Amino acid sequence: MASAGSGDEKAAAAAMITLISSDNEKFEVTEATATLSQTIRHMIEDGCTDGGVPLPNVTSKILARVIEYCKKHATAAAGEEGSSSSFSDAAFLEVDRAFLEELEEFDDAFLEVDRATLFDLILAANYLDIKGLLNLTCQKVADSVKGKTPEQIREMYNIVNDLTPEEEAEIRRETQWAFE
Amino acid sequence: MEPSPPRPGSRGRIGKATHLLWLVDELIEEVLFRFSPDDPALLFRAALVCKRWRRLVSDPGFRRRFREFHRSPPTLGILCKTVAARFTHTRFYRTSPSCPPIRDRRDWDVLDSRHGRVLMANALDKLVVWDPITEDQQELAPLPRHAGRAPNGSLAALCAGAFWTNGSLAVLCAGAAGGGSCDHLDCHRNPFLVVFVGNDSEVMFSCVYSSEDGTWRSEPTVAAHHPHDRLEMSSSAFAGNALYFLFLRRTKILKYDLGTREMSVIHLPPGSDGVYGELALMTMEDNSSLGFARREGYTLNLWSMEADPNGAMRWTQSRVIEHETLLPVDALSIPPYVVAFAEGMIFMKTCDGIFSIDLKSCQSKNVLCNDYGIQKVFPYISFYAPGESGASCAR
Repeated sequence: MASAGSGDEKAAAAAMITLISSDNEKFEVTEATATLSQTIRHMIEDGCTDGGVPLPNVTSKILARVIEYCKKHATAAAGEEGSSSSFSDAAFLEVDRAFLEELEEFDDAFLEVDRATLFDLILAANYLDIKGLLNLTCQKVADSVKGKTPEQIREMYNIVNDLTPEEEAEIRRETQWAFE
Repeated sequence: MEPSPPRPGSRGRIGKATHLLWLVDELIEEVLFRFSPDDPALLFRAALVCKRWRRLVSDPGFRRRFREFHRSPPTLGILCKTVAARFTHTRFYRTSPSCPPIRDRRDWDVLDSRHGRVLMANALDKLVVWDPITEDQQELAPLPRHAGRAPNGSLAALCAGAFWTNGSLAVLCAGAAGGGSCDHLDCHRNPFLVVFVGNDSEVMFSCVYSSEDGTWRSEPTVAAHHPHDRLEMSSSAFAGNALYFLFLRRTKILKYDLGTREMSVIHLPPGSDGVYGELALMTMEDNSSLGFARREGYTLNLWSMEADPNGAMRWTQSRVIEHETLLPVDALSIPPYVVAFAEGMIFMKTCDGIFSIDLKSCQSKNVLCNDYGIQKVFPYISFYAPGESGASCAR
């Protein structure tokens, strides 16, 4: 993230970027928001964002959610940086904690989506290279698998079981402890 | 990415399309990385979802990436030295949500455990390093004597803590010594070292066993300044590039530098009574500095060694925790013992069994209700994933 202070960087933070979804919808976002995506950051660095950034793998519905996430996290990051220079240590910690709590609440609410949307968000986070979003969404899926049997996992995610009954029996026999 | 369309006759659900996410290896891995390492059954169950998942979790590359993602291995359970009817056994008790079976070792006395290995001795003075995950076991050459000095008595007497004995042993990955090139994420098959330190009324002595050479190398002795104290067996901590061993009176620590192979003595701040279960050495979160947890009255006091502004090392009391806030009242009818430390976790023995205490959250868990004649406790810390020896996924 651009560190607060230098005039150049402040100007850069205010610069706007246009993102274009696969269904041709245009989204105007600040550079600070857009650069949470490493993919877009590299495009900006290479100077190829004039006329908008086409994102053929992301629908407008998903892009809107992704931007919502980036806006929130970019604001939080900027707030943290701003506060570090103007508060005493104790006050900074207090502000820091408040930010983290607010961010956590936001993330929890953000994850209240159906499975298909969650999976689409993972694809978008991966394509746009947004580490925080990828971590958040993948962790949600990983947590949902906890305590589930292989049958339940397949059922939840519509995964076809292509193991032969013999292969299944062999795995179960060799790692019986994992199924007890 | 090669989407595999469901074949005719394949079992499972058909009709609803599989989401693109589940057709990209890289993204399935991203989800699997986030399975908790202290619940290894999750990865083994994932292997039974479909061929693609089985192939992914069994791949050595995945195993490596999974470990790198989590950085520090989980505590799977505790290895306990138990004595029943004069027979000593090493018994494993699971403390994690799931864990593969680790067998009990009858007639073996656990002396130390570190970097996935377990150091054990038996009544015939045999010394072995055992890997409970791969089931490899290596017998060590007999412990040498230092010009008739050490160790006094047999190894068995040493392990039993007989009063005429005087030494302590520790095991560690060989990659930890001399700069520490190993990250200990997957070093089960790498060479190991066993360090013996001892003292008598005149000198301190040490020797190091290397599994690569298959021999012990004795180091020059050092004049001793503590003629009326001796080292406590099984009390070591590894921090930075040194091993630390506790003296029985619990007022001093012996430092063994693995780089220089030199020994020195560090004094503990006053407050020790010199009784069993009073103190456990700790490796602090940065893995390079030493700390200890000491029971003082009805509190648990945590100390760490920190550099003062002049660069000199000194003890700093970092926390004082009331036992009452950690343990149920019923477990406190007699003062609890501090029996072990591992990865931010203190293990305490109470009249209600053994408790693990997470120092970050201050949450305690009763990991063993009865103490079954347990004399010593060693947390067993290791990753465990499909593809390891004895942990195949029937590829």
